[in-house]
Amino acid sequence: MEQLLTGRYFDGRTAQGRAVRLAEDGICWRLELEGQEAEPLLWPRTECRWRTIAGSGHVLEHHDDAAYALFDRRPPRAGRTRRLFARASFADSRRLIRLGVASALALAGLLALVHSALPALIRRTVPVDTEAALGEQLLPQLVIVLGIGGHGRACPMEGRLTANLTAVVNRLVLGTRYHYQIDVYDSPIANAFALPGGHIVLTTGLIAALGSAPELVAVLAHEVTHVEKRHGLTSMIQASGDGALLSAVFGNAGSFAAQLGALNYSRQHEREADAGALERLERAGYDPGALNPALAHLAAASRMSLPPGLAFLSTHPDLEERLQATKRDGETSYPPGIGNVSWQLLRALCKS
Amino acid sequence: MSDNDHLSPIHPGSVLAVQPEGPRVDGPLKRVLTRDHSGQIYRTAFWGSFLLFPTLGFYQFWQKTRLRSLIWSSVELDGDAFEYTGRPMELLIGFMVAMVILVPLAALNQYVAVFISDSLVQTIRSVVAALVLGWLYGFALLSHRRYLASRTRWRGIRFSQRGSRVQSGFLVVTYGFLSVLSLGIAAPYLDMAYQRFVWNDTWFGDERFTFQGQGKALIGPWLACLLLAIPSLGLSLFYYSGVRLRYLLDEIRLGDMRFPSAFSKWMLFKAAFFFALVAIFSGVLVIAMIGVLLGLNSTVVPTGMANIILNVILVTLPVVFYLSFLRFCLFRFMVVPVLIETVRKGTLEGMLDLSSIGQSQFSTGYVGEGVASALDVGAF
Ligand SMILES: [Zn+2]
Repeated sequence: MEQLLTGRYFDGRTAQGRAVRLAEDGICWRLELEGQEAEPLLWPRTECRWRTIAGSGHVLEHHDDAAYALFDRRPPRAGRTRRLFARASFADSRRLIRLGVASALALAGLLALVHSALPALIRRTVPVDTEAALGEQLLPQLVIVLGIGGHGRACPMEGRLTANLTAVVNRLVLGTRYHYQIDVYDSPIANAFALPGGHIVLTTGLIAALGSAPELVAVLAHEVTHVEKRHGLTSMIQASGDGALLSAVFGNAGSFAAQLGALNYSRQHEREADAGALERLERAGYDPGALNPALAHLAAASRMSLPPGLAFLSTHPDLEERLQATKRDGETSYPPGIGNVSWQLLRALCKS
Repeated sequence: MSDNDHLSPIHPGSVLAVQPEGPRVDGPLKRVLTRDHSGQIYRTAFWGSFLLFPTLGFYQFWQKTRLRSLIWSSVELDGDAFEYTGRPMELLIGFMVAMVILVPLAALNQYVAVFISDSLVQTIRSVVAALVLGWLYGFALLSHRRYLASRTRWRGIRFSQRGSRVQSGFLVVTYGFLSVLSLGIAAPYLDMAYQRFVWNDTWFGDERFTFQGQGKALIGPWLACLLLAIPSLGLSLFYYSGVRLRYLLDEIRLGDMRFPSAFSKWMLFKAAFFFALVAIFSGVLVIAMIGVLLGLNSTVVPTGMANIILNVILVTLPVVFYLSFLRFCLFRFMVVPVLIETVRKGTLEGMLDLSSIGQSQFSTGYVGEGVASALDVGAF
């Protein structure tokens, strides 16, 4: 019989330590305790496990016993014992695995609840003025994301231009409970946002990128659909739920990350907004065919503002799908909605 | 092997596994800490801190376990070191269980805070939130100790922390409220009352620790440090922590044995001062670096989406790196040196009859600290 290692043995009942010699004995580990005339201990390998504890060394434990032995090294064949089986015979391992699975499932269910079921429920109960107040809280973040200069103020607009835009929007949202406000901000980034509660934010970059006034009307129809369907509010509720989760894990950095999520609409929301825009344009008597070129122009503009290396960021996978879904034949003629004078005024905003 | 080695295994100056014959001698043990794992400890602190963000925080359970087992095993009494037997999976699962409880509470609080603007509702919400959080903190404090104790053993005998965690929660809420009411003046009395609650239910095997510390022993230093807190930018409180820790160690007993440590009362103050210097100096460097990077970016890519994305990256990365570095420094310059110094200057006074001590019969539980790690109680 080969002597493998020497170490320390603790019986788990008294505060005594003994020197121990470890040997292999068939299917057992054989532990010979120093200073003891009695028989050596024989521990069947399948009832034992080896654990490595940093700093302490290697522990040989027996499953129905608080006794264990501590060694500096591990015997060469220790790893070949059937580890899974050996571990499963330890009651603490079994319970740990069971509880781990149960808590992971419970947590997953909870996340689903916080992320989808609760937002769906809550968004119906939030009053319109609360929603508008919440929306305004997002404006400073938008100013940062769009890189807006000039103290983050909107471009000043002439009264007749404001009246024209308001009239168009009101025709798109007949019978709405929201009070709409349209602002143009000075930013090279071509984009439009609908804050919860009816504040619509356009950029000078967007107006420069669009080919005609009806395209802007189509963009407005898309944005008002986001507002009417409370997409922004839903994102915000999800973000605050995620924020609670993330901040529990990562502290305040987590909730900041979730806030950024509030500015993003899901693909589902974009599809709904496109479909809603076509419907609204039709009903209001504006050209639904303008949405398709508007989307194409927007996509081209956001690709152009990126250097070649970063172009992948703008290739939205479902843009093709959206372009396909919004295609219309342009036979009928529609009123432009935004007249030529207004269109020129819009293109000149923030230029002086 | 002598017959009485199990009667008096702790001898002054003994670093051997088995002390040969000799009478039981009272007096200080010269060295308690004998195994130097500081290299491994600092490496673990380093990698753990920098792996925290890339692993979304999950590495913390592995880091904590490794740090604890390295620190525990560097403390040696009479030839046998302490062992930490906890496992990372226990911490991870404990954390998940705690999340199942905390997530609905946090979500509810968040929803009420954001979506209800009524001021009476908000007042009630913040009071309830403070009470619940205080109670959870007290619950977590004892859970943390309970887990640590159950995973600590020496010569095969486990420690245990008994007492009700629910009661601990109520004590923390009550004491916290009274402390605020007294403008902080009564804090040492309340603190020592809580320590009596905790330590008189801490066990080594079937032997109970006792603690009779009183707040009046600490009120002088506390008031002085409280008055100096603002002019010293809070650092005086670290001096008080040193005084308090020494008092605690002086008063804790196991049988007739005491564990006083002769570390300098300024130790914590010095560590905190050095940490603050490193944090401020590196913070200034990082801010300067971000400024230079942003400046470079605005000349290379002046406008457009690319500029903004790059700016976000250029700010986020150094900040994440800085936070990781701070976390490492916290271990490197405060937590670990303070622990090591406390043990290194530690002595044993009085006698402990080890032959009368048997195994702890207290159920160890198989889940980690749970709420404690979710609430971040305990630095490591
Ligand atoms: Zn949209």
